[in-house]
Amino acid sequence: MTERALRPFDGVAVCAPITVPYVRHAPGLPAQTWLARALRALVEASGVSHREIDGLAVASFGLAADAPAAIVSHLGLDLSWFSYLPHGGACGVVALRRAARAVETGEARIVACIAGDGHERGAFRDLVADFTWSFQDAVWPYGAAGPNAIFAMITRAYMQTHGVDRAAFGRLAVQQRRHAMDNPLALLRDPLDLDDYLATRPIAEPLHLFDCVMPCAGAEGFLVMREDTAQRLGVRRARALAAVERHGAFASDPVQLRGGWEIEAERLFAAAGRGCRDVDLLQTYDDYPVISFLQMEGLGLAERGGAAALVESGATAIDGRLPHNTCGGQLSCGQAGAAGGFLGMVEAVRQLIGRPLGRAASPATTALVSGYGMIDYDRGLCTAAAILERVEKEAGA
Amino acid sequence: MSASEASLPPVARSPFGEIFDACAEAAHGGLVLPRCGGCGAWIHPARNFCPACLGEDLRAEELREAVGALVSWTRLHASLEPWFRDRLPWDVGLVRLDAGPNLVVHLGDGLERRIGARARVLAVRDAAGRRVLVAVSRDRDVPGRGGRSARLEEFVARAAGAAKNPAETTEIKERS
Repeated sequence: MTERALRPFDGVAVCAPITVPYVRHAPGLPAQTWLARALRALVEASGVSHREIDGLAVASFGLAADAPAAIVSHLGLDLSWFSYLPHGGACGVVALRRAARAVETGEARIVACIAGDGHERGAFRDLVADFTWSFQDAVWPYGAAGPNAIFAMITRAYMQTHGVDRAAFGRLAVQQRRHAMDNPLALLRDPLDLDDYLATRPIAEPLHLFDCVMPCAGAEGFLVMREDTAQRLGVRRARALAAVERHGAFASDPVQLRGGWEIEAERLFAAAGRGCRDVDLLQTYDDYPVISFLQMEGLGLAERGGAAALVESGATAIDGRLPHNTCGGQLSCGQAGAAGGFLGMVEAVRQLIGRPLGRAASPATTALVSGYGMIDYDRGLCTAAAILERVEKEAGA
Repeated sequence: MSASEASLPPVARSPFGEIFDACAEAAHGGLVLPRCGGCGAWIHPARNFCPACLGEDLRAEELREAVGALVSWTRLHASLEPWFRDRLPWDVGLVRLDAGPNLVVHLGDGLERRIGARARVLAVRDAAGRRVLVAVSRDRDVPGRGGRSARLEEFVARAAGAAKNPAETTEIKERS
């Protein structure tokens, strides 16, 4: 393992977590508009001027219709570092990881990390129909309800392998809805109990309505800079300790019941100087409940097949020992395209600096944020995870 | 999307999808797929190089025993595609062929809906005239080599829908 040892981040701050409030449908507003709103929100939240931003990490499904690089001129930026992130639901962690290295090395001083997408009626079909060539050629022609058919098959295989029923996933959805009820920005805030969850209509068996996220428009963002920069600017910060990416892991598994986290978790924790038991805040990418389970297990927070028991124990509720998806996650907030990949990171930073949208998970000191993205044919390709910590009150806090 | 396209299963394919679509019909009751001449890997979804060894010596070959296990399956109650929306519920599965690749497939009526069920996979033309895969029961749907049960014929006809283009209908009949 020594040759693969990972160097932790050195004095990297994550600041100014922002959300451009989600809306269900936003006719006539392309992704660029949402990204511009995100950048403006970052400027307002941090006091950093637009001109001081010299790094940009941007994720959006909508930019491909233009040219992704055109976002630089749309946003009026002049950059020494620019990264376009095609990692889907892993983009929040990937943005942090790459931006952290950029500010460590001096390639950039202040990196704006933004993700967002618009949503018009019918747009979701256009996005997923040719999501990747393999998906277009070998999944879409079979009637697949967007990515639902693939995730339905992963869910069924998980249920059979680990002997769990739909209620196992329902408990996660119900728990996250409780969290969302305290989050004014969540689109789905009506009370939800397990009976409601179980009674909803099937979409792609065994998936039912509340296993699926609701597409919407919106954006998320945060700033990455050196801690001394953050102190000088007087912006509140969380500290990024370490992060990993893994893409294309376990490609020969017949069905995706594990992901790249399993390979990377050990050196992630080693680099961060933390163990699983230190984690007291968890944000996973919940495009479907089963994917959150795979992250919990892959990162060592539950044993293989043990995520259902972890959730049922109450540990992952806001007042549990491992509060999870504390803003309600995508299952209750909605999925604003690529912004879904930022949601967990932004919420983690909010909790760590003590400014959550909903209830505080207290005392959150060590956050684990993970991502999963880009369904291609029968599985997701991109995985990533990061560990962040609270910065105790001091100058600049 | 034009009105006529809306009444068909998805037609669009990438350049790789066209490679799959252009594969010849199976002459021996098997399944024709691109295969790497370098390492022998069967390749699906199709590409014009081999993901296993990156070689470009690929040719369409018939896998005589296109059999494997049903890894998972789903019953669709919703679809973003109008053609399928009119025919719900619709069953889709994932078959791991003994020869290697994972195949997303339509599920034929005779195939047991059970993870681990043994399945045979064949290619048919759907209502859009596009080549798609169907998993069927090894014994009940394909009694003899190349033969097809009445139930499978019924399924293939349904998957083919009311093909507007008579040539496509003919093609399906010719294959039976």
